[in-house]
Amino acid sequence: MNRPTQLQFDDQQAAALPVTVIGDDPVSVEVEDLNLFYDDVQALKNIKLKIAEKQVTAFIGPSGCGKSTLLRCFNRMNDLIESCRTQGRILMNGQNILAKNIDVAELRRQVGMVFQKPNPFPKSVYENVAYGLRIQGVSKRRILDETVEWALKASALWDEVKDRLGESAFGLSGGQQQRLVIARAIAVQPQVILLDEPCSALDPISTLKVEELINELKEQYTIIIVTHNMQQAARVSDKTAFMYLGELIEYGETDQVFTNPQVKQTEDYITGRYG
Amino acid sequence: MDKLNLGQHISRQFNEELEEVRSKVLQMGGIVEEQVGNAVRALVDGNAVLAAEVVTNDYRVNALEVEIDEECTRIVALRQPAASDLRLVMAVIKTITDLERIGDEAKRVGKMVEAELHGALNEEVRQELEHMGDLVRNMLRLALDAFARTDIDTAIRVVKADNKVDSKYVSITRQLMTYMAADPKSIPTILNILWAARAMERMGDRCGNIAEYIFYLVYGRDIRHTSLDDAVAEIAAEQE
Repeated sequence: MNRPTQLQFDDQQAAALPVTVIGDDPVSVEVEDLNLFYDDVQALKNIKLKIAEKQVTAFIGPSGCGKSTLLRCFNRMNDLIESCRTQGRILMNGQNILAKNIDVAELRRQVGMVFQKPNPFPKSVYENVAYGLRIQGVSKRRILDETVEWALKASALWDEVKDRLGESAFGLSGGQQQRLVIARAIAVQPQVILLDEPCSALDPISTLKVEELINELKEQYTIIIVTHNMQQAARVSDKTAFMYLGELIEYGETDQVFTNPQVKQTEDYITGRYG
Repeated sequence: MDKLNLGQHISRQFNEELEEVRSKVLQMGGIVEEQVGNAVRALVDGNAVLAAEVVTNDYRVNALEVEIDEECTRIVALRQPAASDLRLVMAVIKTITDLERIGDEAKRVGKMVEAELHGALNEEVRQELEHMGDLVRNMLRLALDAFARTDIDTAIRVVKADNKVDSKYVSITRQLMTYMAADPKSIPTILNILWAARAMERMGDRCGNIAEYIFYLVYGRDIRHTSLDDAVAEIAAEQE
């Protein structure tokens, strides 16, 4: 891994933006010179970033730094905002997913997303997980059953809900709902899972369960998580990107970012100083 | 000092806690310095009263170690420090362990003085021990100074100074061996002197450790078990 070569406690370094390399890890998604505007306001500035495959990448930074905006670029959620326009490219499987000819529905199948608040559909537990498959036209009971069971097991929820698959998903606890939503996301076998503050509405025990789940899911999926909880970022992620005012300030191995950050702004943020 | 920017946390209470820990380490260092100074003086003057004082006063060092340790544990549990704060807390935990051990070595020297070593201590040995004691005291002073100011240059001097203490120890050992060979009856007392010299040599090692933690504190780099010159060269290359 090429570590940035500057030393700490040097004010000059704050001016120099780091090179965003992640060593030799295989790349799942590559962001190239991404700029994003809401009308005239630039929310993302020249983001260059390589997301490592089958690892957890955390985006951290103060509110309004652009981390959620960046996350939403990966499955084109920003398309829903009229005033939003983007420049640059995001490459996945060699394709620029920001291109006009991209099938956004298909993209969102490949890049699943879980939000801050659990948002199960007003359906049964079973139907929530089976939903994506049904939209794809899968109707064979056996395939649906198998997939639902697999996804619920993979999201560590099966034992808790196997006897109430037909009941409404709203009857589950918040933590269970969040894991249900993750099960729904993985049921369609995405490549990438986006998690936008997945634990901020959960109690500590449910949070730990989701974190444990993230750790298991990364064996099969590339995971990108936005979190305000820095200890959570430190615990669950392999790589951490620190963003500030729409710029990517520092990107590196999580261990290094949390013990020996190379840029003063990162240091100030994660140690709770005003910079 | 505010290279560590301890005063800049959004939580003012956290500022105070870290500052408090840091100043307690320096307070503990001050006591250890005094203990070492007294132990060396007791040794070279053969002053059993002063030696007894050193032995009794060791509890002050131990008490501070426990207190600082608890404070660090509390900070880790409640504040979850990261980056330079984390490195400060880790460096403090390690530093106070070494300080406490230096205190133990001073106590050991005190005990040797209490255990009668007179007659065996001729002028030549006395001077050598005094010199060694000066070297060690100086190392400790510099190490604490380097910690207080997070000053790498001073830390480097401390690590290098340990070589002098080591070679002093070797030469004192050699000298004492000739005396033992010449007069086997004096061996028990001479062994006591040797133990005292050995204790001072260990103090030097521990001062070196403290200086090494300062590298970790400042650069996040563990230079234990590596060559100092290599580490310094690597850091300098990175700084380019």
